[in-house]
Amino acid sequence: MLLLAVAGCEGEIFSVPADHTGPQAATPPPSQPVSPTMPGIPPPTPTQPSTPSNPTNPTQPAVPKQKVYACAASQEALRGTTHRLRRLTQLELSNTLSALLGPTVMADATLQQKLAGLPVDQTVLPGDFNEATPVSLGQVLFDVSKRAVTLAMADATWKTQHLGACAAQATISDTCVASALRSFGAQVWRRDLTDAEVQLLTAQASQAGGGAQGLTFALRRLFQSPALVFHLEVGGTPGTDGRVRLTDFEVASRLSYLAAGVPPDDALMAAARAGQLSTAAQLAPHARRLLATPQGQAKVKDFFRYYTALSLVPDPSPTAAALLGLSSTSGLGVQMRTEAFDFIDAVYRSQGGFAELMGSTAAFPRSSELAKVLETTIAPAGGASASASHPGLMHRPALLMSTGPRTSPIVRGAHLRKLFLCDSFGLPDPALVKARQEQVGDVENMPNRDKVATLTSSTTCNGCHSQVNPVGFAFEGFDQLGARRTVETVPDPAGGAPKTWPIVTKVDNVTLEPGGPGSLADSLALAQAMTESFKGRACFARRAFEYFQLATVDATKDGCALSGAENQAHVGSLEAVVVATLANDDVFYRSAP
Amino acid sequence: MTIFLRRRLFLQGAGASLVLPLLPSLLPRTAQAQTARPVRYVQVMNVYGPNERTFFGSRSTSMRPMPNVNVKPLSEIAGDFSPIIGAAFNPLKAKFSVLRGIDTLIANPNHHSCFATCASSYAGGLDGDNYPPVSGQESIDVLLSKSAKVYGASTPLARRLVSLNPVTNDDYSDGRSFSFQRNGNNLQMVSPLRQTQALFDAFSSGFGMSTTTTDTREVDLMQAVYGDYVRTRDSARISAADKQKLEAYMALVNDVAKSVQPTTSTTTTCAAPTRATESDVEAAITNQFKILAAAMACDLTRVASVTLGMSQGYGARHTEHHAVGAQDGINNPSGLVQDLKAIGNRVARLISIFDSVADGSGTLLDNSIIYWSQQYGIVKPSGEHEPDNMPVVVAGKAGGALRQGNYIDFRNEGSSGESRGLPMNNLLVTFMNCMGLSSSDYEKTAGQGYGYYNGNFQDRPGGTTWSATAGRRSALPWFYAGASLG
Repeated sequence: MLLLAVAGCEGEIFSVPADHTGPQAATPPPSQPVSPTMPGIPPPTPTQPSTPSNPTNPTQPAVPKQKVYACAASQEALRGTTHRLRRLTQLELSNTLSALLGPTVMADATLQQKLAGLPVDQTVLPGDFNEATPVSLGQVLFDVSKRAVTLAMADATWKTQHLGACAAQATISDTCVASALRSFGAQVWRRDLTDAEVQLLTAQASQAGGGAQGLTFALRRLFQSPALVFHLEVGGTPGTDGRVRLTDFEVASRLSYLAAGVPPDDALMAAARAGQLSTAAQLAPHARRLLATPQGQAKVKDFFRYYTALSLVPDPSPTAAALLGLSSTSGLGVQMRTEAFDFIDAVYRSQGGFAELMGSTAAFPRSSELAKVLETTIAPAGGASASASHPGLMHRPALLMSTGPRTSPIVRGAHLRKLFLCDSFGLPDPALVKARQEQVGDVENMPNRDKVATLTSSTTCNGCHSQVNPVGFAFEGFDQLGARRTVETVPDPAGGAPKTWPIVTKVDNVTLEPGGPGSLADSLALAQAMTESFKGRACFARRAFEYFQLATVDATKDGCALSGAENQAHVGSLEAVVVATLANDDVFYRSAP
Repeated sequence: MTIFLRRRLFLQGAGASLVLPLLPSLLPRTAQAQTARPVRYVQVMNVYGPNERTFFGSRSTSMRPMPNVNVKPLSEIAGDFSPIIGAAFNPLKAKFSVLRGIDTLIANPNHHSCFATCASSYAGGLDGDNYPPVSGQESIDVLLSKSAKVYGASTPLARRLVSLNPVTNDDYSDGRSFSFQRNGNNLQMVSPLRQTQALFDAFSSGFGMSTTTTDTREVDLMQAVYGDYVRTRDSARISAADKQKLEAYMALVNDVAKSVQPTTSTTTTCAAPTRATESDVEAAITNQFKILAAAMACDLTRVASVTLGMSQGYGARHTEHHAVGAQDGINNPSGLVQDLKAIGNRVARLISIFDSVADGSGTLLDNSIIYWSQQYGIVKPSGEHEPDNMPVVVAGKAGGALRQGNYIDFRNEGSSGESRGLPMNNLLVTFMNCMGLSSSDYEKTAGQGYGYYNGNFQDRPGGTTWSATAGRRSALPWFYAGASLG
C-alpha cells in the first residue's frame, strides 16, 4: 500500500518561463470526434458528461484550461542550446553499419557476434541515456572494422556500389583509391569531405602499401573514426547569440537519427547539397518519410513503450481470474501488452489524435480470455473489435491489471497520473506511514475505497492523496484483470465465504488540471475528461521530447519546441506531434563552445 | 597450512577441457609461497528473493563469540544447508559462509527493492526497478574498478570491471545489472555483457600466445585513428564538456592501440581457455565462469559482476515472487524456488571453478571474494518482500582476511519479529577493506560511510554504533579477520 505524505507532493511540475507575460487564452480544443475515422472502429458509446466547475464556489465560472508551454521571444534565441555532443546509441551504430555495409556483409555471424558485445540502450526514465561510451566499444569497432572491410573488399558488388566501379577492378590505382575514399568517406562522415581530409586518408593508404591493401587500411580507419562513435557537429556558422547554425549536412544527420536512428539517406543528402533543409517546413516531409520507414516505425513503437511504461506486464491475479471464470492467467500478461500496443498502433496509423488515444473504443483481443475481459469478441485479423466498456488508453487491461489480492486505487491513481498527466509525487515519510497504519489499525474488513480513504484521510496524507485517490476510485469498477465489476469480492484465505461490497466509482473534488471537471461519475467520465485535457496533451508532447531528444526537459530553453508540439496535440494527429518534436527550429542550432 | 598445487589443473566442461594458466604452477615452491597475489572480487546477484526456509533452512547456532555474532560451523551441519544452498555446496563447506541478519537500510517503504551492491534502495515514493540507488554512491564493484588500490594506471578500461548477464529467456533480468556508475550528476546502471564471445574478446590478447608480428600497418592504423580523435578534440568547435567525452573514448582507442603493438616475447604465459559448445544457458554460464577464472588467474582483471536471471520471464515469475513467502520451502514446486536453487548451483559451480585454479600458494578462491546476494531480503508469509535478512553467501578467504566455513547470524539475541541485525553497509565495507580500500577511498564526504543510512536505524539495538563515523567504517565483526583500515 503506497501512502504519499504531503512532505514531497508536487502536483504541478511545469515551470513557466520568467518572462512569460500571462496565461494563454484558453482555447477549447476543436471538436474531436472519438475514433469515427479509424477503419473498423465503431463510434464511441456516450459517457456521463464530466462536470467542470469551480470546486470552491460552484456559482463562479470555471477556470479556463491553459496550455502549459510557451514560446516567448526571449526563448527563440535559446532554441537548440540544450543539444549536446552525444554518442551513437547501439541501435544507431548498428543501423549505420548496416547502411554502410549492406545486408550481405552485416549477416556475417562473426560480425554479429562482435556487435552483440555492445550493451543495448533503452530509454526508461527521462534523461537516463548513458552518455558514457561502453568500455567495450573501442575493441568492438576495431574487430568489426577489420572483419567487415575484409568481407566488403572481397565483394565486387559492394565495392562497385560503395566505392565506385574502379575499385572492383583487379588493380586499384591511386586515383581510384582517392575517389573511393572521397565517396565512401562522405557516406561514413555524412558530409562531403574536404580535399585535405581526402589527402590524409590517401596518404595513409599509400603508406599501407597502396592499391587494395592500402585502401583496406584506410577503410578500417573510417570505420573507427569519430563520426561512427559520436554525432559530430563541428561545422556550422557561429552567430552573435551564443549559438552555431548547423550545416545542412549536420541538420540532415540530426533529423535522420532522431526520427529513425539511421544515417541520412540519399534523399536527405541531396536536399542538404541543394540547400533545401533550411526551414522546419522543409524538414517536416522528410521527418514523416523517415517515421514511415521500418526503423522509424520501430522507434515510434518504442516511444509508446516509454510513454506507457509497458515494458513488461506480469500475469494477473489468478484469484480474480477465477471469479471471471478464467481457469488460468498464464500468458495473459503478454496478451494484454500486445493488445495495448495494437490499440496504440491503430490510433497512430489512422492519424488519430490525443482524443482518440484517450477515448477510442477499439479493442484488439486475440484470445477468448482477453475478449472476455474486454467484453467483446476476438478482433479479426487486421481489424478491431469494439469495447464500449474500455475506452481509450487508460482502460487497457495492461495498465489496469495487478497481481495482488485486491486492487490498489493508490497505485492505479498515482500511476495513471504520472503517465498521462506527467504528475510527480515525492517521498512519503516512512515514519508517518507507519504511524498512520498503527493509528487506524486493521482496515482489511472494509471496502477497498473505504480502506484507502481511512488510511489517507489525515492532513499530512491528504495533500497528495486528494489528487491520487479520485483517479484510483474512479477505476474501482475494474478488477485486477482490468475487467468490469460492480461488486468487490475478496476471497477468505481460510476458505470461508468471500466478503463482498458494492463498488462506488463517483468521485468529487477532482483536480486533474485547472479548468478540469470537479467531479466524475466513473472512469468513463475520466476518459472523456482526458480526451479534452490540456495537461494530458502537454504531457504527451513532453514525453515525445524526452524520448526523441534523449533528454530531460528544460522548460525555458526547450519551451518553443515543446510549445509547437503541444499545439499539434490540440489540432493534429499523434504523428503530427512527433513530427513537430523533430522538425522544428531547434534542429538548426547548437550552443557555441 | 598452504597447499601448493604442482600440476596444471584441467576442468572438464561439456565435452571439452579448459587449460588453466600455467604461470603460477611453474614457479618454485618458495617463490610461489612468497608471491603476494592480489585479492579478486566477484559479486553474483539475482532478481527476486527467497523465503526464510528455502534459503536459511531451520538453523540455530552453537556459539556466540561476541555480541551480534552467533555462529555454527558448517562442518557441524549434516547434509544440505538448505534447499537453495544445496548439495552442490556440500564439498565446499570449508570455503564459504552463510550470513544472516544482514539488513539493507532503505528509503522506499512501499517497495523493498534493494541493491545489495550499494547497501541502498531506490528513493521512496517510486515504483519501478529502473531507478538508481538513493545513496548516490556508485556500486561497490564500480568503485573497486576505479580504485588505484585495485588497479594500476596501465590496466585497460575494458578490463577493470567485467559485467556479465548471460541469461536471455527472462525479460525481467535481461540486460540488467546491479552495478551503478556515475555519469555527470546521475547514477546509471552498467550494461552487462551477454555473449561469451564478447567476454573472451575482452581478454583474448591477454591470454597471449607468442607474438612475433612485425606488421606495423596495424600500429600505423591505430595511430591514425587516435590522431583523428586528437584533431576532433582539439577543434575550436568543441566545448570543454564535449572534449571530456572525446577523451574518455580516446582512452579506449589507446588501449586498443597498445594491444596491437608487436612483441618479441615467445613465452606462453596464460593459455586461452577453450570453450564448450553452448547448447543451453548453463553451458554459456560455465564458459563465462571459466573465462573469468582464467582472466583473474592471469591477473587481467580483478573485479567482476554477474547477474543471473530466471528460467521464465516476468509474466510468470513476478506473481510468484510475492507468493513464495507463504510456501513451504523444502519441496517447493514454485518455479521461482526451483530457479533460485538452480542459481545456487551456479554459484557453487563458480566457487568450485575458482577453487580448482592455482594462485600463489593456494587457490584463486583463497585469494578472492565471491559474494552472492539477491534483489530482496526474505519474503514474509504475507507476501511482502523485505529489506531485512538479506540472503548472503560469501566464499573465498580474500587472502586470509575472511573467516570462512560458518553460518553466522548477526541478529541480536532476544530480537523478535523483525530482524535486528547489522547493516549491509558494513558488509560492503568489509569487502572494500579486504581489497585494501579505507574510508578515504569510498566516502563521498568524510564520515558518510558507504551506502544509505536510514535515520530509523537508530531504533535498532546497537544502532547508535552506526550513527558514529567509526561504526560506519567498521567491517563485520569476527567474520573479518584483516587489519582495521578505518
